[in-house]
Amino acid sequence: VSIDFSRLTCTNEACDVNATGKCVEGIELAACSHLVKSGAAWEQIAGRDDDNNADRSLTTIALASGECLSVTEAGATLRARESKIFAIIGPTDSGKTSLIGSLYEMFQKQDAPEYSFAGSRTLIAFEQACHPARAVAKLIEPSTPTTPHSTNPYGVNFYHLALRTASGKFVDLLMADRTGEDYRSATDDLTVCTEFVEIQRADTLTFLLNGELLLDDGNRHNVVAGAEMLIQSFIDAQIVDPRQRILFVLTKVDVVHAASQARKRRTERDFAEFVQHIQKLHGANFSEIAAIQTAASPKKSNLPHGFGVSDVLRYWMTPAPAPDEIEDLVVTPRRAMSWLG
Amino acid sequence: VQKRSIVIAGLPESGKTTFLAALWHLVVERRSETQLRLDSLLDGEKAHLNKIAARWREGKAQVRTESGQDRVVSMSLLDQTSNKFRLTFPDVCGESFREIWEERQCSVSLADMLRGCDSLLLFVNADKYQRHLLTVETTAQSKKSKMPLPSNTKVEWNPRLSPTQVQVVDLLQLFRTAPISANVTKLALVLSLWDKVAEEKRSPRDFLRERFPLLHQYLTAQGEAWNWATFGVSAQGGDYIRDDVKPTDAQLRQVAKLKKLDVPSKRITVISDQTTSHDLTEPIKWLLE
Repeated sequence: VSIDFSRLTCTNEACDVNATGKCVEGIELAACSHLVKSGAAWEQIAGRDDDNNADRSLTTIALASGECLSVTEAGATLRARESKIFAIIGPTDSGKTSLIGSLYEMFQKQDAPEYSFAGSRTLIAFEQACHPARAVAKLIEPSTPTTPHSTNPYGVNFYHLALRTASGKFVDLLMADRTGEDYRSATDDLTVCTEFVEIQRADTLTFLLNGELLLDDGNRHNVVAGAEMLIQSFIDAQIVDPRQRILFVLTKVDVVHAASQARKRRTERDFAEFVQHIQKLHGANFSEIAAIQTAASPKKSNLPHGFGVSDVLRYWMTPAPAPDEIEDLVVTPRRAMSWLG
Repeated sequence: VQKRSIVIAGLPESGKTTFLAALWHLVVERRSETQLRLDSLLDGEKAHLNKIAARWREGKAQVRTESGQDRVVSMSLLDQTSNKFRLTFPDVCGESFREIWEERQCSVSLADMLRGCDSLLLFVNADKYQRHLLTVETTAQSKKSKMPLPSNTKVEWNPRLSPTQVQVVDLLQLFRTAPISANVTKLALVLSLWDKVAEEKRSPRDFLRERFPLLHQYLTAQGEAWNWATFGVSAQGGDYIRDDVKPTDAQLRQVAKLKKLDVPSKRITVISDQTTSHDLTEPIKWLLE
């Protein structure tokens, strides 16, 4: 029996399943979370023979999942309104999800003077990311959320926040989060970089350096070398351009502040020297290089929750300085790039 | 006669049915000066309204609206210049709204009601709600008051654990976006059980800003252009007696006191940013403007 695809509805604006019968993201129709699960055509696709389930699917409609956006969905957001993409880059356990969660938490506590929360399409994803630091999780100290492996094509998740600035302008923020292992593998094999659509389109490349590891004698050199290698990989793979900025974030500084004065000073010096070193090596490849320290979800009580996070947001929202001279961009046309505008 | 449809929305136990019960009592009693008054009893199904209003007068808490028992009640009312309004209130159980946030699905009938309505009366319980609280805050509090730290029993994430303000923001977003795509923009936000927080002496808007900052920012930012106002509403004046819970002596005394009032509508308090009254039709009148 043929299926009348024209009767299907998809909540993803970029998908024309009713014309092609195919999901724009290449997902099996029965498994696609964006497809409206009602009507005879859907019943045929789902192949349901359970009467109760069939009845239910006819009386309910599926809503947007509230989970992270795929590349296609992020692309639709970019086209709709002024948007900024921020790639948050770091190895496993460097605090990527904590930073994203803590940024969202800022708006839960009080009205923010500079920026107001104006909506989010990924509230479920934010809530999941924030749960380990919430009292309802019933943990004695906040645990660290980890980036879930994305099931989206290109392996990257986008968290979405709509903000209103003090001047009344709306800006959509798309924060790209992918697993640390994906980024690490780029230093072994440059061809992997072509999949990093978020790096190519990002306004600011935000590199996270784990302060707890930088404090440690056995790990400090690897932390610095890993970040250096990754930047070099991005440059060699030609996926960055001089209009982009780099923000280095030293994370988990609550642990650094709790260490002895000598170790704290050494860690802060290591971080400052690393930033200077990158400025010297790659300053010409980017429009600006800056550094901030954060304790997004401190385990120690020496720093407040979200320490430094508002500085990250302020930096992201500040327009990038125009470089003196920008060479013509080498654009590699690819499907995902075109989706991201 | 102008026909208007107002959807009464809110998570479970946010005071939707109690409001409707007290409103029906108020308009049929006609002993208090109100912005809207009864025109006639000719139209509409009144059995449900009479039943819930009777419980309200008796000081009995409303029975939770069961899933699948959604009703559309209607009232014919007049404003102060004798304009006639036939108002329909789809009274939907709170579980249907919870399902929107937790299950990410909406019944076709509720989606149709939202698409067809002129305005929204959204209820948020000002007393009992899921607060936004961080582990570091509870730990610091325990240490300060020398109380034992909470037990380290990890609770997995569940959407029901999310702060109420997050759930309410997402409800409003989902009403307006595909596939529901309701065109409604006028919104009266009712902070119910206001008697429990009245002693804080804050206006409803200040209360919203301090206790539900995310929701306040979302509405103020006007990203989705809501035309909104906030009302603090105490539709009972205190705790009523529940069928399933043995009342305390204090509760019995309070209900007895409320029942002794010669005019039952004096149990009602409505606070807007400008006025305080017993007139529960004020939020409705604002929605009709």
